[in-house]
Amino acid sequence: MERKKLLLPVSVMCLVATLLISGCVPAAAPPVAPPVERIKIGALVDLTGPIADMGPRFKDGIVLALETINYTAAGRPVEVIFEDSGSSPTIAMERFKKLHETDGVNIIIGPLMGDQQSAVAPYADQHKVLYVGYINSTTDCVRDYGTFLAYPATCIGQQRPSGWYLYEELGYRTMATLGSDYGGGHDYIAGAVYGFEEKGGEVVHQVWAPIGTPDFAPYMAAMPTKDTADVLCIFLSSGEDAARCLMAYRDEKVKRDLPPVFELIVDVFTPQQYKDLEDIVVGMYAQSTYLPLRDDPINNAFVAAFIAKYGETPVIQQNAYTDMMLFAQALEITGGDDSFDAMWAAMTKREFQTPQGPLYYSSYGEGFSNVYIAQIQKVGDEILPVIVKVYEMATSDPYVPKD
Amino acid sequence: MEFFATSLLNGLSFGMILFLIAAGLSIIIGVMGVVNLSHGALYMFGGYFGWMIAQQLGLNFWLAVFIGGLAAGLVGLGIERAFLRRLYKQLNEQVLLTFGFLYIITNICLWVWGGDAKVPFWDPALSGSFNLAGLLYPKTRIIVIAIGTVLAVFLWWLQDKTRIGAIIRAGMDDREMVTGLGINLDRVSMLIFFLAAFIAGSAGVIGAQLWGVYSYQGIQTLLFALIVIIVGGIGSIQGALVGALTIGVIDAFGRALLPELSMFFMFMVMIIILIAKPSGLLGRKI
Amino acid sequence: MEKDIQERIRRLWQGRLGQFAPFIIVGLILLIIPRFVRADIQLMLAKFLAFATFAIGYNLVFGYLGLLSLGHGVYFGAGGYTVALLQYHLDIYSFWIAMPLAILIAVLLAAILGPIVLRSTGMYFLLLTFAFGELFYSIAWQMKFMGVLSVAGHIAVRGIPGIVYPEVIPGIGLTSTTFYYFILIGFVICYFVLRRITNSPFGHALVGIRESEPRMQALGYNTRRYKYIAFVISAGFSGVGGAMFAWNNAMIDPSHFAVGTSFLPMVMSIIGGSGILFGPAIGALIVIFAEYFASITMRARWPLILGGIFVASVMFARAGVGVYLARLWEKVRVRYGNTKG
Repeated sequence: MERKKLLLPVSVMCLVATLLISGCVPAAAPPVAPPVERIKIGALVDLTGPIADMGPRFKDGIVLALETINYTAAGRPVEVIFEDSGSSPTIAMERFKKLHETDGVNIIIGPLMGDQQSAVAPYADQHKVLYVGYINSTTDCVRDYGTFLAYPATCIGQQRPSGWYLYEELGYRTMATLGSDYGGGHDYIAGAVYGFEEKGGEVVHQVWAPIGTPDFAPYMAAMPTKDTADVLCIFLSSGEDAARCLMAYRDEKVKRDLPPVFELIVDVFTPQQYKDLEDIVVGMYAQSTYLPLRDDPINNAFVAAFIAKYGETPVIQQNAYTDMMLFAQALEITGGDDSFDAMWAAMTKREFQTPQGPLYYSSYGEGFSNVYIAQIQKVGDEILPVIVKVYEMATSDPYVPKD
Repeated sequence: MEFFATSLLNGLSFGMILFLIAAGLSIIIGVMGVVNLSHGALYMFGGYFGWMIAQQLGLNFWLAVFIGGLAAGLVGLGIERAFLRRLYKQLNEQVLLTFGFLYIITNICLWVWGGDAKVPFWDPALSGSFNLAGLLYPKTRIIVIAIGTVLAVFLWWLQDKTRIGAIIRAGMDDREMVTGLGINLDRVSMLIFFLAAFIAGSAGVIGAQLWGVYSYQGIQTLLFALIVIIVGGIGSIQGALVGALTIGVIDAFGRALLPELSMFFMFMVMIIILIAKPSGLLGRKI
Repeated sequence: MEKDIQERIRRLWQGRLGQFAPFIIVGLILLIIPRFVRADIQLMLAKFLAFATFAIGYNLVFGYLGLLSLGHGVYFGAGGYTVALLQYHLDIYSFWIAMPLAILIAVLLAAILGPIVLRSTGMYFLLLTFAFGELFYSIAWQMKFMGVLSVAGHIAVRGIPGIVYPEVIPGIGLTSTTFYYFILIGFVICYFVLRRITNSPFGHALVGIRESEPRMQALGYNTRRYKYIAFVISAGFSGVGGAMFAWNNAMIDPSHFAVGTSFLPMVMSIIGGSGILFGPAIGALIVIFAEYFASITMRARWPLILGGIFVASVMFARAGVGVYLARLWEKVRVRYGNTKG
């Protein structure tokens, strides 16, 4: 009896209190900006979750870049704040907000995945936070939002020249595809298909494998033979998925004459995996975004420094390194001004030289860079990709407007 | 015809790995009334351990299988002795506790072995394919089917034909009575739990021939195991086998014929069973 | 005279004021704190409120009815996707359309799935609810209208990003602070509604069913109907939580249907105490903030810490933190009351 009598007044009290407080109490002063001395840059890396192998690699690349510039840009000390994006768009969104609102960061490297990038895009647009990807991005993120830089190109743009190469240089006319079933996977395949079809080729068989597929044998069992498809384009989101897929391919090839494989992103493989798969990969053609052995002064210097520090040859670590180096160079251009407008103006419509090759961002944030077609060859004791053709600054995405 | 035979064998080999994973979990749930959601993590842990033995130390593959099983068995036993034993018949607490261990073991594996996935590895003597009446099929997959079959027979024998099996089944129904008869149920429980974890761990290495080992496997194999149990029914080896092979074969044919619906197939079978026969194809009431 | 006043104070303290004091204190804290904390903590507070709503609704089935569901993500996700799809496809931002619809869809789904899942209990109920959660996850993954389409035709993003705050008063937009207060009111309303339900004969009947369903049936209760109604009600609250979450998170994706989300209210109920109405809310506070602070300080090791918290809470705080707090408060109240007199 007594409880019921109190229920109403207490609730009313709370509601009234809420309204009063919202209206009367002045908003707490916005967090005071940290002393202007230090430039803060944010980095979202996946340290936990299914793609946790990527995070530490990107971190390595960024740290090397910081050491190369001596933690200084435009005369001011530079600090990178790393946060775990947890292989999840929700976590990426939370950390992105934290970096911007709590840590006062305006420029962010990452996140990696397409759905993470889409999750943060509206917020980044609204709050004018500049962010850059690691390994290509979906077209829509670049098209629909204005604060994102797609390094080194969109997925579609990255693979379009692959399609040209397959048609013009290798003489294929029909194509089968096998791709990871997520935004990036669809875009990579779509790029190769676009390039192939615009030259006159035809796609005859398309298969999508869910992320985390343990067993590729069923897909290979249904794959057409050489009679039907001249080439099998494969893109899988991780090296060991790709390795398992090729092992299943090898098993099936014993029985039926499957078409040769063209790997859309061969950078996912490690040298050890090349050795394990020697009988399949030697002679295989592939698109390789970054080749550590490409002979070029900037690249050679980078690779030497990386090996000296970490004791291994860099592959995707280069992407994070370049992202950081470009921020540093842009800061030099803006004189230390890390506001969005200054940084965007400094980074777009300007050609940079990176270990991967020249790089140019359009005012839409689309990256233009070289596309390298390679063939996996046995060179002495090593098995590695060797460049057979360069398409210069050719990563043009047909769906993104041009300057 | 070749396509059919290949797909069938693909399904059976995939299904056998599912059986190896689910068998232990099903026994423990159905026969001991204990839910161990860290079972998938034990699979993965065994796999990493086996990788260490076979690939890093370069020792014999089958030794790696045994050691992987041993490592997982000890961890599983530890969890049972120190924690699960006190939670007899408390489903909620078991679920939360073992979920916690799933997180813990997964993160420790990530810490020790890193995020890089381990590529499939196997006994070098098993490279290449067998010639089965004209059909060439990978040796490793045949071996997986063989191991699975042997294990299924052994476990069924254990469950139905031995004294220990009878004790467990009786103890599930009436614990007091069995203890009153002077049987050390506690020790038998320990043995069964260790056995289930051992199977999971060695399955991790056996499965590594096809799948490799990676940090996501903990939760992935748990999901597989739960689906198998739902389809096949809890508490019997036959149920785990039937469920696993059904899922495996349907998945193999489904992915080959209708790849767009790859993800659906497992869930579709699960839901159909749940509506038509909720206790599973060969399930017994627990 | 003095003794009289002292006596009055003592009785007040032991009586209604004493019972309500903790709520008032907590209420004031929740009201004031957002103004003084960092932006990321504010975000976490709103997330906590969404999950607190989700969890106290879930606990109707878990704590009061005694059924372990691992599939309430279906209703949470349904609430979230409803508000997201209304914004994305139909340009509907009004709270007054979105929230009722979110609740309606969640309730409808529970009404359909209820008869199927409620046929079982215990382990089977767990597996069944889990199965439907995964089914909805795979549907949400495949359906084109539940994702963002690429200009090239395929699905670019699974789920809907870019969700904005709802429109409560036409013309006046919500800021992150006013949004927080808004869902705080929502949570409080949900709490009191649930309190009504659990204190009613219906609520007591649920506990009776948990203790012994056959006995309740023997007493003439239609237990099937009671379970069904409770299930549907809990789904409604899950839908509310899902809508709140979607607005706060600015994105909803298929994983919010699946076990990774479904197991959270269970964890929160156990840690916070499933025997008491506000228990899961405390569990939500603990889990959300433990996860957040652990991941900020131990970037790669936070799952380890979180798992450790689960294990520790099962082994050492069995009844739940909320119950311990309630008992503690009782002791304080009685002791303080006695000293006064």
